[in-house]
Amino acid sequence: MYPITLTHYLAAGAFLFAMGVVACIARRNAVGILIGIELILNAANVNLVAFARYWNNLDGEVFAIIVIILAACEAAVALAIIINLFRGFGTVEVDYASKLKE
Amino acid sequence: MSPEIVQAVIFYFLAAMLVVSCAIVVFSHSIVNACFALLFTLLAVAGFYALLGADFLAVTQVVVYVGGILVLLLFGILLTSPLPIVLGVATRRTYYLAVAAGAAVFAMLMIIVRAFWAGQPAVPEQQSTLEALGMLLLGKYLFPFEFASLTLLAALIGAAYLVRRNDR
Amino acid sequence: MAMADYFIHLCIAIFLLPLTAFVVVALFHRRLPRHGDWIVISFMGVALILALVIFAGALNAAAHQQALRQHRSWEWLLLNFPKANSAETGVAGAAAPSALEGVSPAGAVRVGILLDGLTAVMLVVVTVVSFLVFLYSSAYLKGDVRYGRYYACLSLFATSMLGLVLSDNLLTLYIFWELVGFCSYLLIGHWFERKSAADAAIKAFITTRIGDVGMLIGILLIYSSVGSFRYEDIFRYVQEGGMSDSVSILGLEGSLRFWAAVGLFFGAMGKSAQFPLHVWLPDAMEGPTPVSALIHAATMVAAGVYLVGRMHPFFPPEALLFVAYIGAITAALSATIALVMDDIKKVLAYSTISQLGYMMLGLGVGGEVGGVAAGFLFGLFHLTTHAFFKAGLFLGSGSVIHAAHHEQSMWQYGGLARKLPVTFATFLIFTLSLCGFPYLTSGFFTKDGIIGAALQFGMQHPSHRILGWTALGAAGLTSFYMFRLIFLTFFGRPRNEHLYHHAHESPWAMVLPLLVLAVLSLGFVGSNRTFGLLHEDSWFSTLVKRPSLVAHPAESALPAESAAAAHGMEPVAAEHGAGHTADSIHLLPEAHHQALVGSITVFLAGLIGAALVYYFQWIRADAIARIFRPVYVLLLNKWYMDHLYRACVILPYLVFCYFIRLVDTYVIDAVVNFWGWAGRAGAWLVGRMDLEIVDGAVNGTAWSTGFAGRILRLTQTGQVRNYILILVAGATALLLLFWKI
Repeated sequence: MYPITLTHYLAAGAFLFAMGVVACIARRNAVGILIGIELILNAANVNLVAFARYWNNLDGEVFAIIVIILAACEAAVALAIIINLFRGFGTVEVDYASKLKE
Repeated sequence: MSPEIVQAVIFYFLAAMLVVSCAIVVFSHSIVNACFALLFTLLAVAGFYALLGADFLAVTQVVVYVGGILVLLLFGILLTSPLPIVLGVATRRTYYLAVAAGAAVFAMLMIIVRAFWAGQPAVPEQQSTLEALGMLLLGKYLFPFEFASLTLLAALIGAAYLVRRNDR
Repeated sequence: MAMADYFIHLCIAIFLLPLTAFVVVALFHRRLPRHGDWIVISFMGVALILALVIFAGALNAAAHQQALRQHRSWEWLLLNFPKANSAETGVAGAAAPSALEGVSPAGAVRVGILLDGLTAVMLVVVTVVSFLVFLYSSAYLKGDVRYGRYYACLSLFATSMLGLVLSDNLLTLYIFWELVGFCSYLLIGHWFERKSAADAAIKAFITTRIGDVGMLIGILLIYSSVGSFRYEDIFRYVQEGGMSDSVSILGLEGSLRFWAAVGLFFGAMGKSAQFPLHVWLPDAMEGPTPVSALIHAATMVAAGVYLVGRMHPFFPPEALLFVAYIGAITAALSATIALVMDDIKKVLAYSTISQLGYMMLGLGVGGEVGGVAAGFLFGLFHLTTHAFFKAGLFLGSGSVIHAAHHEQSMWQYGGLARKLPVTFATFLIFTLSLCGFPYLTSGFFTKDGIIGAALQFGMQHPSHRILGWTALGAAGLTSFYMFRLIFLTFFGRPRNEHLYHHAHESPWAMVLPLLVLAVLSLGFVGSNRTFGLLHEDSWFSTLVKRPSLVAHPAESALPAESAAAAHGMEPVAAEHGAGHTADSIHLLPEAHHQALVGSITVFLAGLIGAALVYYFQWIRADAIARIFRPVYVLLLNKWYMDHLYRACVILPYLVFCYFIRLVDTYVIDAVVNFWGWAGRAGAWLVGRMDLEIVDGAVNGTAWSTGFAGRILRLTQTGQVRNYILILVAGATALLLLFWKI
């Protein structure tokens, strides 16, 4: 089980990703879905950093930084949307906000 | 103890923290609990970064995610949820479906990982990445970096525009 | 080095200040209080102070027997034309590194800033007049519909004019030249709801563009020969005998240098409203009066004169003779037209053209070989003094028009001196300066100098004696029409009682510029006893030196001098070598004497004539008009120049257009119509087929699509989780399908 290799980190990333997907599916609360997305982004970041170390090339870390920036953007905009959703529907349960379908 | 053993111990500790906190994040019935569990998930990820020698990223992870996004999420919860702040998961059927899908995804990813990168050693890094990262960000990746900052600004303005009250 | 940096940086600041103001006001004038006019005015005020600092530095250098000459350039483009490369190597040392700039590869286009005495003077002229006009406009255009846009345009105009005089090369000069023209277009058409204003703007733009085509050809001729746009490279190339190949155009034989110079002068003719391209300037009076003062009297029209002055060493004697004749014709022609104009601004417009003609005449006779050096000097000096008093005249007329509720005909005025005392007093000073009132006014010294130079030129070259006499005659006409304006406007009985009663003195923002300009029009500006320089030269002649090609030693880059150049100063002796004594800037005594007596005589003659006709009314103006009816009609119609253009340029163009239209109607339309008919016939056939066969298929497709849609709609739940589930399922399926486990 040791030394710790790239595979370990990739496995951790895969676990995070899978949990993010589960959260996105299982949660009905829009904030919960947002949390799931954050988990997915973190999974991507773990992979990026691990590979950056593996190839001994810092480009991956730069991309990880940009992913963090974009995650911040996404969180801000998503929360704004959620608040609007709350104003419009009186709830943040996404199942009720499927008006576009009709 | 050799450094590898120390590394392994830390890794498995972090991994355990990750698994437990992740489970709470995903399956907790209270969204506030989920949020607090997310704190530990993010800290575990930051620990991974530190373990990987990405010191700057580890700090950034803590500052941005824990200090920024998590607080933002909590605010979102407080602003949108009428009491009680208990919003569980979906119906039992969806619940199983979700777990199945997660398992499928995890299985797929593990298949791919084991097929390509099984047992490759991670290269430990000794010196700080800070200077090299700075050179990259303001050199080779100046444009993406500036563009990301512009995006951040746009998101800021957009978010402020979206939540402004339309009463008047 | 520190000194050099200091002034060059000031120049950059002077250039950037109005540019910043332009950007800010153009973008945000709707949000700024007062539409941001205070930004434009205050920035220009700072630029004015900086220009005065530079000017003081130049005077200080002159007092220490040094000429200000600083130069900084940057590489802009790298053109790898083979021609440019070969030419660059042909000019020995054209791209040689100097103390101030790095090495430039062959074919590189360097642009930069050249600061010498002429630039320093022009900077002061442009910033002073601009600042005063900006201030004046804040009162004159108060409450205008496009107040912010107006100020943005003014600031852009000042930027381009400053860039023009700061340029060290023809390329950026040309760029700013066009920008200046563009601003002029915008400002003339400021009230574009009036058709006459819109037409005038287009006319000004197109007419100057015609001249600019010639200028562009001239610049390209120079670049293709020299391989550089910079003045110094061009002068050096010409000095070494370049561009002397003989070229024949329209049966006229001339050197390449001659044709390039004529091309450049075409640009100057357009911009400085020289005959026959002067027609746009009177129409440009449709713009707001401060614009007329700033652009069409003081600065923009000066650009042409400045260009000729800047490129003066490049002009061969034949080209300068051409310049001199065009100038003389312009001066005389427009002076005669000004005699019969009724609109106060039109009179001033024609007097502007006339004075610009004087400047060109002075530059034209100021040639290096067989010319009168004083002509060059006084031509540019007149540009300076004229800028002040002509701006003052226009601003004064604006004050009158403002008081008279935008009535511009002089026959509606009369007796306004009592109502507008300050305007009248300053206006009188400007008029006296324009007419050349002896010794007390600046205009006297400079105009006298030009006339003297022209007379001396006539003495040296008897066949060209007419130049001097024309200048003298036009001076008399100037005196006459200007006093006609004064008498009609400010003296006599009010001819329009209503207007007279409502007239009132203008606000301080309009009066203050008038007072400042009046002070600047007094004799001390033109005299040679100003600024403590108690010797033969005037302050202007100590600042502005004609760069000499003949006397300039070929190996100018001596070590001792380059050390001086590194300090931003050059010893005066370096510019004026052995030929200095023969090239004196002083007129011959007899020419000076003749000019003095002549100009005072014609000044008095014009004054008395105007007084007899318009003040005492012993001679009736309409009687003269009746007696000399053909002449009067000729003048009233502006020598039929507009009609000539209409007949020779616009009419053929319209005929051509008509012909093209006929072709279009009967040939092209017929073809098109045939195809249209054929298409319709075909379409009918196809339409039948369509209805019967295709529609059946289409309807069937549509129905089946709709059916599939109804089925697939069930999957579009609008819920994220379903989408993710489908995504995961798809990914799993793909993995299972293609993964060879």
